[in-house]
Amino acid sequence: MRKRLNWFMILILLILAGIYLMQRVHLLPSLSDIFKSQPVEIDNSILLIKEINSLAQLITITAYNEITIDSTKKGWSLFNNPLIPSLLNIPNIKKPDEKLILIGRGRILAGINLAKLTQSDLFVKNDSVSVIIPSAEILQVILNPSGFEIFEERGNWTDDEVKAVKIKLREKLVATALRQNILQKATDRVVLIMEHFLKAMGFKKVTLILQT
Amino acid sequence: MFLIKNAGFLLLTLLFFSCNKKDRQLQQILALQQMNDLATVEYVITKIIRANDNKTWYKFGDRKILMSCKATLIAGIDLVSITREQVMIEKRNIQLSLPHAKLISISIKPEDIAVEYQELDMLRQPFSAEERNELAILAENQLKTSIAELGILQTAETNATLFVSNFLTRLGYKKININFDQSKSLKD
Repeated sequence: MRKRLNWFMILILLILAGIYLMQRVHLLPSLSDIFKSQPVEIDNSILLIKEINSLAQLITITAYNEITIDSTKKGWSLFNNPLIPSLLNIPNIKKPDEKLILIGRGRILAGINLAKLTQSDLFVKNDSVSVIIPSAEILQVILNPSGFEIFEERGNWTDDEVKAVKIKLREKLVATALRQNILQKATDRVVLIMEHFLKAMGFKKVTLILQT
Repeated sequence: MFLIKNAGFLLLTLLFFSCNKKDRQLQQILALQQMNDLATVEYVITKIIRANDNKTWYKFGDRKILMSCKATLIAGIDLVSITREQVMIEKRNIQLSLPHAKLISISIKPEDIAVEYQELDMLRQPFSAEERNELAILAENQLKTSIAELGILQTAETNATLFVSNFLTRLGYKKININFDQSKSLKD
């Protein structure tokens, strides 16, 4: 009897091991996969080039930041005073607050727009050059869909509402970068790069004047 | 009795089957990073995001969404990799070797993603903000894989040649010869 029980247990273990191995080589779907919701995929649609613009931007610094933002849509209650339903012994009918908490990871690129450089901003004499550099500015704020994480979504949030929260988050991202003194750091780096470039172009004396 | 005797073996077997190794990648990003890029071209492209949630067998009814998105791609060259060895100056003539163009950024602004159409059957829930964002991430990934086909790097190199050439003319050079560093492209 005991020997039969042992054989029975070994058989069960062998079957389990067989199922496991078959799942590993994808001959059998896993049990959890059968009831798992399949991911939604998108069609590989074409890319349409709408515009091609020439740029002359010298990007000298990137600031990475992670910002959190939350937004709440107030719910409503049938009774203004929460004591009324308990006094009347009826349920308090109400719609709870709707909440959206987003985490955004983005990049801010800063530098100068060299397209603003005019002929009068350059002065050359023999092996000396003098350049008036335009002031540094934020050239791009990159906050792509992959940079967003929806931490909590309670209630129904329309596309426009979510967009508004994301735009607010972007503004917060820019404000944080400005607080980190990104423009000053970008300017310092512009001076270094321009000096390096102009010296490589054969100039011995390079004077850089920052536009105020 | 059998179970008690073979408890160790059973436990090990269970552990073996249940263990799921997940590599946790440590992500570290510098808050501020120095760059030396001269952005020379910007491509504005549009893409339609079309999805149909009909792959799960126990979910009945249609659930479709059509979104549109606009992305801005920026490409240019690394200005600091130009060293004196790559420049040959002879009086007012200059020969310069520029590094090959690279993609600097891809940007999809939140306001540039829009839901154009949604079709939902009675039994289905509307797409949540998280699901819409996931679809936009898929579109972003598709975009990243299709960059080479757009020809943005070639345009960036053409524009870089134009910009540097104009700049050198302003600096007083008469004959300017610009080419792209072949050795670097081979290394890449």
